[in-house]
Amino acid sequence: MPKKEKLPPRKGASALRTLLRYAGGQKKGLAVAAVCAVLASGMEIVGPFLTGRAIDHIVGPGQVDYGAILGYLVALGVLYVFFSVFQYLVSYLSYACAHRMVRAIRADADDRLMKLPLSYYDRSASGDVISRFVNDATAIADGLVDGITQLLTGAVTILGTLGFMLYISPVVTLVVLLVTSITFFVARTVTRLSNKHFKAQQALTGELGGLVEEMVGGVRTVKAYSYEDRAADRFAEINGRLYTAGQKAQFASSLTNPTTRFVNYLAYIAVGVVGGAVSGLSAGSISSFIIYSNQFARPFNQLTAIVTQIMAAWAATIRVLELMETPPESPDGPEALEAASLTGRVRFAGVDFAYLPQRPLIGDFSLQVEPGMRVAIVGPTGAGKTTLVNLIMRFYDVDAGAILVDGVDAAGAPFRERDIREITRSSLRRRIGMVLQDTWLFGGTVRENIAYARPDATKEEVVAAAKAAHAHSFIKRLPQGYDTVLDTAGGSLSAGQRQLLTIARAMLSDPDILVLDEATSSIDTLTEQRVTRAFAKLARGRTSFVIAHRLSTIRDADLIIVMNEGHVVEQGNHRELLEKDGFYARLYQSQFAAAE
Amino acid sequence: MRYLAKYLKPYRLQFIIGPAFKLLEAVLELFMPIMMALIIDKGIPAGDTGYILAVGGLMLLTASVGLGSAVICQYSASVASQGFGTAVRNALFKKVLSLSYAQVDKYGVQTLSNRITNDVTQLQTAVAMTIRLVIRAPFICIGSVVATLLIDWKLGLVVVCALPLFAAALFLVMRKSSPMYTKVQEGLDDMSDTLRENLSGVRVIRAFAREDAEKERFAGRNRELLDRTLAVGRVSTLLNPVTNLIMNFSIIAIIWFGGIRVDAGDLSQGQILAFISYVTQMLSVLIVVANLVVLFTRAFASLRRVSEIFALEDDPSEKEAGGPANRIPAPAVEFKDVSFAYPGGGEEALSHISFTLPAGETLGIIGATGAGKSTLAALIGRFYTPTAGQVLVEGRPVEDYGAADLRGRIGLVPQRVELFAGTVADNLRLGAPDAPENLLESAAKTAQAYAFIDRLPEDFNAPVRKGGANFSGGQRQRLAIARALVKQPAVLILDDAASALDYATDAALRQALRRDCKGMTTVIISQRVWAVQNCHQILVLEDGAVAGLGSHAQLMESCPAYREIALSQSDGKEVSHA
Repeated sequence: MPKKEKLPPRKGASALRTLLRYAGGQKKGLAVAAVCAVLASGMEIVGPFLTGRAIDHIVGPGQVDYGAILGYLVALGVLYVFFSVFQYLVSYLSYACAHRMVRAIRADADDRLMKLPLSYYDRSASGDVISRFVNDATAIADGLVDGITQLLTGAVTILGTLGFMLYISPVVTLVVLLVTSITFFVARTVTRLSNKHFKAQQALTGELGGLVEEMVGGVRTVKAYSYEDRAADRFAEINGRLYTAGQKAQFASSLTNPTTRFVNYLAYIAVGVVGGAVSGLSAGSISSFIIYSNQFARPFNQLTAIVTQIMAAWAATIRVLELMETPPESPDGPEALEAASLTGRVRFAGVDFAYLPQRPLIGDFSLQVEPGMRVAIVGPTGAGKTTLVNLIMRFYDVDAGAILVDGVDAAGAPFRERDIREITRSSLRRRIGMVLQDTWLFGGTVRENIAYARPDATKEEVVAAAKAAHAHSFIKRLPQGYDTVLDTAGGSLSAGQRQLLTIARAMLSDPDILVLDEATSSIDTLTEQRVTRAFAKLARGRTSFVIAHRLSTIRDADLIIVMNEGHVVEQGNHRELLEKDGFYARLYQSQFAAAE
Repeated sequence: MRYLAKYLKPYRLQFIIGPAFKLLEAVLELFMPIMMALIIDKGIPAGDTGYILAVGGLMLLTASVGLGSAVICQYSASVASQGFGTAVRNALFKKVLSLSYAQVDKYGVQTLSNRITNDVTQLQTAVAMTIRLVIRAPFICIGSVVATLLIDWKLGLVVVCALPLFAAALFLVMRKSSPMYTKVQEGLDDMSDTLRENLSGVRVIRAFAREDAEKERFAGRNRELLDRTLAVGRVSTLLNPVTNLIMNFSIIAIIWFGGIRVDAGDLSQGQILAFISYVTQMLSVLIVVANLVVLFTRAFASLRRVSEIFALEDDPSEKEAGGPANRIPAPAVEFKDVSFAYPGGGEEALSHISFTLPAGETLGIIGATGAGKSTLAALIGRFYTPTAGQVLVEGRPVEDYGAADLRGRIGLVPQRVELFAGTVADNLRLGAPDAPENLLESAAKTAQAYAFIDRLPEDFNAPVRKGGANFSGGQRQRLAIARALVKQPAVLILDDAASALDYATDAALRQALRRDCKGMTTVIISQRVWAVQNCHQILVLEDGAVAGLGSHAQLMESCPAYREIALSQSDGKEVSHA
């Protein structure tokens, strides 16, 4: 099977286009947010102007113009109320739009995931895929929220405050611009410095976390081999390096606030000194100017941080896109046959298959299976027995040759030797029952799990299937019987009980062809007897492909396919193969040699 | 808390210097508005440029000293918090590895790992924030209020009124949104779980053609997550607008009442500006205080979780010191009426087990799942302490051994293999770091692992990925067996250790063990009769008690439980062949 790997990175001009496409879906909300942002920024800028004017009417004792002041203050009151309302709308709307966009992205990603060929699932680490849906999508949301609000408000703020400042005093404006550029460079330097150390810190934290997971997860082995001290030494070494990186990172980033404060004070002082001494500004104007210079500098202060967040969102978008742009399985052709039932006659005609072109697996494999035949697939561990299962179920398609089946289509017309690629995947798979070693159950009730293939099955049918699978007795003894909810992965049941449930599930679907994996070494004897009997009942009269582990199964099979290292090396029935005195014969003899 | 105090002690200096300098900065900051007021009241009306420049220069000096002080504080904080965190992490890791099986079982691996990583980081952040902010933020708040009251207590009342309003708004929003954030996190977890199911069960989902149903399920989770996210957004985005509103209306109030006060001759124009500066400063710092409260709540939870682990008492099964060695030849393993119940577990997992295993012989242990086989194996290495009876290894009670000494004599191969990231050689040498290359080779050969190791491009230096993920189940088991053999133990215990091996390889393994490890005492645990039927003795376990003890032939005659298992697993032919 192909090894699990991370997918290679992609460039992302298409990432930007994709984000714009999803943004288009939120046109209305974004438009309203934009209007509110302009209004809110506008109001925020007008405010200081009005306060300045009001203060200018408070000169000294007996020189207070209450009327004028009242006018300004009422205007300010109304302004501030509307400002808060618009500010709320901008925040909430951009938040909502961003998250709605992410919901749509997640939905489309899942849609594509469901259509991807199995090769994608087999080569991707599940943690990586989940991370794209959860972590990456969240990063997109966070970046979008900040990006949208800053974009909208920042531009207006900068232009507006600049305008007002120039109106009050061009000279002091120049001074403010000078100080602001200092702010910007200081912020950028501090961020760059701290980012460098943060990267190192993150890498070391990951390394440390990995070691912790390994050692604590493997604590039994650690104790059995008295590895505690050596493990602690390894930990301390990484921890020491983490201290260095962490201390530098924290120090560097903690400089942001004090330096920002200092530069703000520079502006404060400059406005006061230059405004007072040079331009002879009034107290009110100075007050306004101080606020304006703060407002003007704010977007620049936050710029570097916002850019980092937007870059993270962009990188995340690229990763999600990788998933969404992976080519899906080729859909069923328009003339694909809808199979209502299969006779059980299967022919492999010159089948070639390999997961990777440079590692050929099955070559020119031919086989004729008649209805009701029991085919045992045997071979050492890792021989590739599941490959045949993958091909029959069309989880993978053959590279050359064909697999042909007989059956009856949905219209009632029989068909002979039809390539399974000409049959719809869903109808083909519904007629083939699969019971694998890996018992997959989901977090629903026992009944829902058994009726997975036929959700509309009646309670009686479910119970009948459970009885046939010898599962009924233990189900009855569960806390809520058939309505007991299984936790994800059905953890509260033993391995044997889960196996019985999957057999019941297969029984209920009443398949025409059976694919079974017999590996049951982790089940206790009593349950195993039940499983064996259930398997036998299930297989009765049906063509079955069994990955066989039990001697009796192999010997009683009508046909044995012997695999080794991914290739089919021999086929025939038990006697024929022994007579051949080849690989199978050796495999079989070694079992008796062991009994000595 | 007392467990962690000792890790803070080396940083006493930083805990004093840091906040002291931050306090200095804050005090200096309080003077800035006053100096600005001087410029406006005295400098500008008089047109006294020299005066303005002088005060401006003083302000510059004040700000610079303030910056310098702040930098000293930030540095102290980074050194103290990171140093503290590093020390605690080392100590906690050591402590966790020293816990006994029983203690690890109680908590589970996931939470123990999280405590070492996440919880210690929370504490680290809390220490840093304490040094940096715990003095500054409240001081500025209170300082601002005091300053305004000192300038003009009547106007200062406005500031005093604004404070609780602001704090109330902060408190309400945060209290309402906090549980909602938890719900969002749960929604994300639910989505992950659904995805994980879809990924692991893709074959079954497609086999039963249920893709559409699964899409619906995911869509449901997606929608639910959106609803919860929007719900929390509606509340959390209120914070800024509401606090801004309070702040802005305070300014309006200051201007109006300030006007009245100036008219009365008690206040100057410049001082109104100072008031506005103070109230703005105070209210912005309140937000910092609110965030600090959240941080400390989380840090306290982490503190509890970390202290809990430090408080665990050393389990006697892990003690290091041992008694004198045994000189008389003795059976390799002996159980004398041993019983055991898991702590907190209730019923006995093993009751009244007695057997004697002479050195160099083999013991098979057979029984159904849950019969107590693995528990028995764990008792031999003193990974658990029996509740009654005595376990002896090489003639000495296991309590008399130091843990490392005892476990060095025992090679335990569990069913679920744990391999560590590194090379094959690193893993094989886990129990014997100085083992020579030829010992690794011979152990690998006996364990039927040499063939596939040899085929790897770097053979013994081939990389092993985390968890041994780049090897198949059978290969991992064989590596684990080789690893145990490298230790050259006195007693080898195979706990269903060949379950992933096919018939042929398993048989070859047992043959090789018989041939290559003649002096070694072996315990083979299995559910299969063919795995144990050639052992010198077989112990049959049923529900934790001995159902039979003897050779295969003896048990076939006298033990109905054994007979039943044997017959159910064979097809007649194998049994008679034995």
